[in-house]
Amino acid sequence: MRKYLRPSSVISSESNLKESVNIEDLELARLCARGDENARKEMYIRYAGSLYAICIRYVGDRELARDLMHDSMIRIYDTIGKYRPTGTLKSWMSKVTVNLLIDHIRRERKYQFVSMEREYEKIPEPSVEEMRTVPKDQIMRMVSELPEAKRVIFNLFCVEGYSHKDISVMLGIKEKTSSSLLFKAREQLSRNVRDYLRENG
Amino acid sequence: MEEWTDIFAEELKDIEAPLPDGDLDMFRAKYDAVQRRRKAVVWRWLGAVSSVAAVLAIVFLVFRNEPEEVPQYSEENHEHVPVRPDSSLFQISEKPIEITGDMMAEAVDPGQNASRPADVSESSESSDASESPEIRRPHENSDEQHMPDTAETFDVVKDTDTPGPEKLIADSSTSVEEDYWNEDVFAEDMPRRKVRVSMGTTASGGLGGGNVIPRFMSPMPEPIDPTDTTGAEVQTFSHPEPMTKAHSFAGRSLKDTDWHHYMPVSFGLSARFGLTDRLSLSTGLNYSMYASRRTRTYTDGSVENDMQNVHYLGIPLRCDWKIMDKSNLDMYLGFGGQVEKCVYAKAGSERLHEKKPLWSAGVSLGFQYDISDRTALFVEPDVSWKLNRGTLETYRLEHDLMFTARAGFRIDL
Repeated sequence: MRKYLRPSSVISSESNLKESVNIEDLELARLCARGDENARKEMYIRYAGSLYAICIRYVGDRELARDLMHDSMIRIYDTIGKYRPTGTLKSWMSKVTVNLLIDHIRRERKYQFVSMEREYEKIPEPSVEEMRTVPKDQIMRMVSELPEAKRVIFNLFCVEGYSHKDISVMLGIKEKTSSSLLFKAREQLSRNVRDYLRENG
Repeated sequence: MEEWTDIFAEELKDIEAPLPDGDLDMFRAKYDAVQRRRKAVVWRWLGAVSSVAAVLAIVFLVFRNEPEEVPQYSEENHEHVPVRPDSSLFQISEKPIEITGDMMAEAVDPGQNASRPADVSESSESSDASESPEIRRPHENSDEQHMPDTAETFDVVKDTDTPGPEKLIADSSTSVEEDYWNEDVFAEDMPRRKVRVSMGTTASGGLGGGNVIPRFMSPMPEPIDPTDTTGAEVQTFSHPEPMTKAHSFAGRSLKDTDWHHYMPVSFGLSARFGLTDRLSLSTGLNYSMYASRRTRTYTDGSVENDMQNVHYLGIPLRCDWKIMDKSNLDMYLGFGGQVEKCVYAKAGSERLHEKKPLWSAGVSLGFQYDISDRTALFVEPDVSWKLNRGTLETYRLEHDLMFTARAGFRIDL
């Protein structure tokens, strides 16, 4: 059974709109749903960068990430009519993109969700304060350089907030595999952060 | 309690990556290509639906019930054949009205309303509603138009069954003239006159051999004149054996009939629907022509030759399973069947009929060579088994098992 982060289809009245919902986003979504070319271009300019970053996080390769970002934007154009102002437009678009990436991962199945790496020496995990000293682009690089399977599991668990059970359903793997891969992803990221901190003081 | 991995989530959710140069133009081109592809898919589906609808329409037309057989000519039937009533048989029936010279001139003149009953209704619309419009039965041959004297009157009989203009009908003294205008009688009892000429030919059976392209220019015997009653009686309706003058002479009967069947030729259109990567379903419309040369030998030693051409329309249905998929060459196995219906058959000048559809099943081995992304050439040798027999003497009747080599061009929609 596939599980997706589907945008909410519940229609809520304007009085229930969250404060975070940008009225401009609503208008932009409405115009895009009508097929307004200028609105679609504006949507692309505003949000393509964040969607591109999401794709890089998941697939690692920038060329592939760009293709998938284009595909997700086309899917967003097609389904923009389903957007409801229960969340921000950006979060809705991010969810659509993540769902597309999951489809891609399942379809390609080039990721071997079996850990066959050798055991590294156990090192202490960084603290929250140490993590705050690491720049965003380095965090992005560390995640994108993870091996494929660990990268996907880490993104789904830590960034998107899925449980191991949800991940096992989405990717068709065992929960044990998901937790094992997450553990190994955390180990490798810890090592990378330690290495960065050691190099940069 | 916040973990260090939560920092990843905080930072990564709002991060944006710089887009490569020309990304917007690249996306626009990709989006336009997707839109064009979607439109092509719509047209593709419309074409497929139209093709299926056309095939179904042809199936309906071909396999619908045939009209009943033409009854054999007999004296009894001939008596019931209505003839056109003589114009002098128009008689007064009810309310008489006076026909003026202008009215008759209007009836006689072909350019006037007399030849078209619809004109009467048009004129009735413009005329006073209280007046009763008249309809005169038109004469097909203006030379036979009746020109009654001005003193002669005609009755106008109201058509009480249906609204509309009144009709002037013929009240003949015999039932034959009444029946002439009775459409039901006209359709059922009136035999369709067909002149059939018999010819005989000698044919040899066997697989293969013979000419692939049959000879259509075989000499034809002199057609029979149905009005020629010299010699033996002439039967002109539904005679099982087409007649020639020679056959009409007494003392001669058919001794032997030999057939030479030419290799059948067929053409077709097909549509193929891919169900999975390997499995596909194909159907379409096939036309097949079975040509044969018939040689008839009579007891008096005379020999007659003629050509028989039988045309079939068939609808195949086949499942193809791809067993090999190389870069440009595919190989597949096909399993399926076909139903064929004779749409036209003629032996000499005699029309033949094959009422029931013919079923066959077969297997094929196909080879497809991709010329481009959308076009390919294919060759499909197959073996088919005849599941039921027809009545017409054709190559198909004599061979239960048929080997066919099919070649064609395929294009992806």
